[in-house]
Amino acid sequence: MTLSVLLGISALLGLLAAQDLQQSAAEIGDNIGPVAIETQGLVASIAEADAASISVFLSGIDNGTEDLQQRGLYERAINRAPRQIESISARLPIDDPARIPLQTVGSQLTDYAGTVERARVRNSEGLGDATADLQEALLLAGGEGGMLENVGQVNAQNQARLETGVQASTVLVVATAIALLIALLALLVAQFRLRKLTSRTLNLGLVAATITVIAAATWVVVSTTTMIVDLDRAATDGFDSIEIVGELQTEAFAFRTNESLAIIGAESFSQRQREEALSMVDGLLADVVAASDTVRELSAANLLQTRWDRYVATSDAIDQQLGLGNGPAARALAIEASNDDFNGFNTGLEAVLLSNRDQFNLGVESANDRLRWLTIGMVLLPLLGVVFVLAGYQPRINEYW
Amino acid sequence: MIQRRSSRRSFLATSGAFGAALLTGCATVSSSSERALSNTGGLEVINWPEYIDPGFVDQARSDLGISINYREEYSDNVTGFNDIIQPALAATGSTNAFDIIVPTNWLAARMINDGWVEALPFEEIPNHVNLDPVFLTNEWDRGSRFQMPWQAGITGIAYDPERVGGDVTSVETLFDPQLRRQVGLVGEMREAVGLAMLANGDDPSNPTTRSARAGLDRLTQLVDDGHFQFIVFDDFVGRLQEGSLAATMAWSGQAAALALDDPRFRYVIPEEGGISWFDTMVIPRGAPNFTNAARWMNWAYDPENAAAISEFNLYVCPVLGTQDVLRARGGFAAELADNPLIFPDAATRNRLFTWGTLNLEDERAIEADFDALFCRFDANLQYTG
Repeated sequence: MTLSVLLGISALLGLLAAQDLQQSAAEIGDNIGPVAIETQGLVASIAEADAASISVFLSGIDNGTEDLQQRGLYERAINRAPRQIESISARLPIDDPARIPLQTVGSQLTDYAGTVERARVRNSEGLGDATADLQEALLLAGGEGGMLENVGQVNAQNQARLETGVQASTVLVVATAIALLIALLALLVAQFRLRKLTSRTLNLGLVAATITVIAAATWVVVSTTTMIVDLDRAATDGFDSIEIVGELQTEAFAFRTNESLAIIGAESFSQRQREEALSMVDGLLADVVAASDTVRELSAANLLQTRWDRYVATSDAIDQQLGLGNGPAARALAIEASNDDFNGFNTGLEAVLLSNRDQFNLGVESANDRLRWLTIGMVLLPLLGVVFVLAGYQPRINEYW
Repeated sequence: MIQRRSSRRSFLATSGAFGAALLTGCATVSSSSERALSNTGGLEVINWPEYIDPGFVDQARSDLGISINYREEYSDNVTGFNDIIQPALAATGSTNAFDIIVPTNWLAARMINDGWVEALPFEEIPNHVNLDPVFLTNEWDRGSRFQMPWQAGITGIAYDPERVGGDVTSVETLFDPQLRRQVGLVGEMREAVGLAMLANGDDPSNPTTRSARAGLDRLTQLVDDGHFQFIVFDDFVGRLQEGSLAATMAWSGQAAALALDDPRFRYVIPEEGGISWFDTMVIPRGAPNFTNAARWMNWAYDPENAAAISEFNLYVCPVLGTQDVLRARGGFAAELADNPLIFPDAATRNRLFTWGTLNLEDERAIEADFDALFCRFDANLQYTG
């Protein structure tokens, strides 16, 4: 009776543990991972919208013809961003602290679009306030407390969810393993006692029950360990790379914002600031290369480096023109080459990011595969143990009682 | 001698089937797990006709050291999809029939969405960095992870000033009743409807069902009025030369060649704007020679090779560095480097619109209704009333 109860408890705990593990894996695969990707996608959209809006603005200065291609890019990016916010919001728990910065980004995005539009209209009418409007928009996107910073907070909260999610799901597994261990000890004691009561060396029913319990315990330990290894690998190979790419994206965007502010004459971007910012980006690019654990990822990272170098070369030329006091030449470079180069880098980042997502998803998928049969096994094996125990005691009952 | 690509879409006899076959599916985006490099043989490439000098394919064979079966069997997106892509991929989403195919951008987008395309192995394509960034911002493939444009083009207006009695400067001029029965309608929905949308003051790069319908209605009215004498594909050159058309919607590559061969004719990007498109290389899921396919892409993105390809077909080149190579070659090649139809400058680019994303169901319906216009034309695609 005691043995049956112990095995029953093990089955119940095993069921709860397996379900909890599956929920954790599902939460990571369905929500935490996609949020990590979407937040970086959101940064890319804001960066693209910002780069394009600056080009549109600069091309429209002095009654110039507004760049329609860039205007189209801006509109697509600014329309994409709310969908990404919606998607992130749908994947966050109702009381998640990340909701606050996310809501802020949502309202900032509306303000941003309105400010860009105001700058555009004033620009086309030749009003002096247009530059101040654009500066306001740039700061709303990349300045202190701006959209980028808030997206960063969403991302940090999401990272915390990943870490706590995996830790919490291991508690029930430990409890199950302990219950199975107690059941195993009880089975050994029962075997020993029956040996004393009978002339038989082994009770086959109890032996079968013992093997079943060992199998169940092994299964739960191996499944959990490999699942955690898979998730850890997904986190290391995919999630961490996503984080680095996100950081790189943010720094590169900040550089671009400062350059734009300098071009419109709103703020200076000193040589020292430029060098520091470039050094930061270069360091992160090196991190992306270091985090590449396949030849393909490494190649994508190298492509990224080339695209960044191209952008920096154009940026240097802009800086040179600004130094010479040649605003129109700097603007011309910003509208054309610089914008294309930056978009090339920005979309290159997205490509790396999407590759990381695939890797992350593969890790989560692998973890889920390992857990697929665990629920059934964790119920069936202990119950099978109960059957074996009863079968083992039945001959003895017939013989002695 | 300048040769040109003869056909982007030679004949649409299968338009009815197109609606049924091409417009089905597109339900889910597959997971894009990375495929390991592999080859089982040489390389099977299916491209549009006369998009590369056959002799230059020999150069690729020599450069890459592989056997290449280069098939010019992709005559248009309709038959290309119905006869090649769908039979190969629809059943299992995977094929061993070919390694590279070159659909137009909108069809490539659908193939990617259906999970019929391999993610590109960047390690074999270092020249991916030469892809012009303007091709990296497509909503359906950000960063170009699944496709690399082969050539791009512009749909504008080719005309004979003598027959028109002046210049055709806008789509509105093309639609002027004075040109009734002398105008060619391009047989590609997104380009024809796109130009009509521009004439209506709408933006084809950001279409709505309403604006696209309005464009189609405008064309339908013109067809009803007998405005278009022919539906044209590559044959617009001949129609202009024989005098059966005075003006027509036309593709930039052939138009550039026509202008070089026969200066009587002119080609313009209309005042309202032109429609840009690109045909793009994709590796179908399951392609047996995945590695060689990637190496071919890398080869095509070497600016030296891209320059030779552009010199042959005169379409818009998507490879950075090609313009410099052509300039350095001097002579005719250098002239091409300054041709805005091959290397659109900022002003030209600013007048181009690529068909945007429309609700798929509505786009299918518009496509079917556009194809229904073909019933008003005979087997030679001449208007029958």
